[in-house]
Amino acid sequence: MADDRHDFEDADLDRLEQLLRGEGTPRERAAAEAELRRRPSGQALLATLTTLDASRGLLKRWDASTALERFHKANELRGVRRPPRLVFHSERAGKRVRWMASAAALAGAAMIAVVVRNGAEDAKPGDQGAPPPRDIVTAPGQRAVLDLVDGTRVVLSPDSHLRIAGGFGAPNTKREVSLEGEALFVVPHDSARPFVIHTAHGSVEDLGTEFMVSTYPELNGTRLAVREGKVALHPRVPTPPSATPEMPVVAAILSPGDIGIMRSNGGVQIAHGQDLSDLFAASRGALTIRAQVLEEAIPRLERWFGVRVRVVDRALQSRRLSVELRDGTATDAFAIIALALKARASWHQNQVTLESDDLRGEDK
Amino acid sequence: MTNPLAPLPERSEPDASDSATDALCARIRGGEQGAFDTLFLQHYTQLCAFANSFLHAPDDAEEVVQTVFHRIWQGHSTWHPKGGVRSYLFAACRNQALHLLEHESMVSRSSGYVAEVMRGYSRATSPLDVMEAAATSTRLRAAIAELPERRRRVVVLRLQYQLSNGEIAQVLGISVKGVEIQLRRAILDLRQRLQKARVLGLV
Repeated sequence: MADDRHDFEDADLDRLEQLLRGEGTPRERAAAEAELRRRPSGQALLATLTTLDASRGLLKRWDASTALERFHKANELRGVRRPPRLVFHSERAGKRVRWMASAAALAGAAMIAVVVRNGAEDAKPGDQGAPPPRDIVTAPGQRAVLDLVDGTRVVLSPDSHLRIAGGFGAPNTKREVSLEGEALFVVPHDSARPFVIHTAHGSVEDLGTEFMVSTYPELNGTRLAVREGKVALHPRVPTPPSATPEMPVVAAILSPGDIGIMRSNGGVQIAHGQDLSDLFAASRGALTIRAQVLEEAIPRLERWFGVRVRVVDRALQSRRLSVELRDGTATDAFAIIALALKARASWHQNQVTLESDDLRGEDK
Repeated sequence: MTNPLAPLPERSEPDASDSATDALCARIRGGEQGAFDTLFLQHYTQLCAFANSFLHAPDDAEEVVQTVFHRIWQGHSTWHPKGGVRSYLFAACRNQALHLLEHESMVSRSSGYVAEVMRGYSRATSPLDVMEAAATSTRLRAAIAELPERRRRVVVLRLQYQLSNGEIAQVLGISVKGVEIQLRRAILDLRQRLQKARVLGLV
């Protein structure tokens, strides 16, 4: 690396002047640069020239190959009408895709209808082994409605990933899926084929019911809300010898009106007789926030609308927000939110900035 | 030492890469994504650095560049960059960055940047940045940072991005003559500052 201790020589200053003048043919300029590189002071000069506008760290941050991938992905979503398809995204929920200024994202959580086959129909004669799993992924700002072959309806919330096991729906096999994010399940009961949802914190076994499962990061666990029927919770627990009597390992059965949370340590918390209308609103295309501190509500807003939210002042972050947002665009929604918070919303591409009206008055 | 007051010649000899660039543009107009990708990969990082020199916000700089390339791709079938590809790209990024600055009234942040460059360490965010911060206090970087704004931009466009006088003129929206004047004055300024620093033992 170039060493700052080397002083510039007269030859370096002459070279600098030559570079400024832009003299010589490309070949002559290349030869002059090669001459500079033979001296430490010349190397220092050249190194400085490449980082006048930005440090080496910043230049590394702006990796062109990675940016190109993001560019094409964003352009796929930017106003291009595509039929629903089964995809597997290697970039998982939690990363902000900042260039998703698609019509779908700006219009709120757009719906994609998908019919999923069980994969067994794809098998060709002579195929051996189970069919591959199928993946349904929604980006921030998207939702999906899935009708599985067994009659189960799944409403997948924004920024979520549902993996359907290969051979799902085949006779005498468990109906198994894996979930990251959030989904509503309406499952026809079949005692011969239990319906099981696997999450990072355990599994949920349907006993013929309608329920909502959420595994978003801010929950620090898997939350289950039951509207109809019964659902069994099977928390995933750490293996001994760390298990203690304080870490329950038994399954819990939830009934209508129950909310249960499986924690990563295997613990289960259950609340009975809850009003579930807000939790299930997402499956009807509505986002309900009730007396929630703005700072805590931001991840939900970002996910629902596929935008990035920036709050200028701390006082605004701690204000409580109560809104029900249905239909409309993200712009309309944040105009309402700003009004509710006595703030102002301004947009730059895919980012909305909220600034307290009080603060703006002091700045003038 | 050459006479700093002597006229600065325009690079009259055509760059060997001009014809290759013309061919690349023709392929982009034809809808060839590979050609567009080549253009993107060649210029992306430099353009981010250039946009960041206005915005001093790395994420915003990326958005500016992405916006410029998005517009190119959207209108690729009729894309004829006037004055050459590089000057088009740099000018478009500058315009987009200035538009953003006007919209968000970030002037106060821009004016504070030179002082932050001089402090160096306070902006370090990674080990590489810490090492870079040590290097940023070289006399050359300091001397360039102290130049008047327009002169500094002309110097950086020439030294870092290696644009020609005509390209610089197009990017900054000034005349070629104006570019030449700025470069002449920059040569004088920088020689004086760098030699003075050495004489005073500021090493």
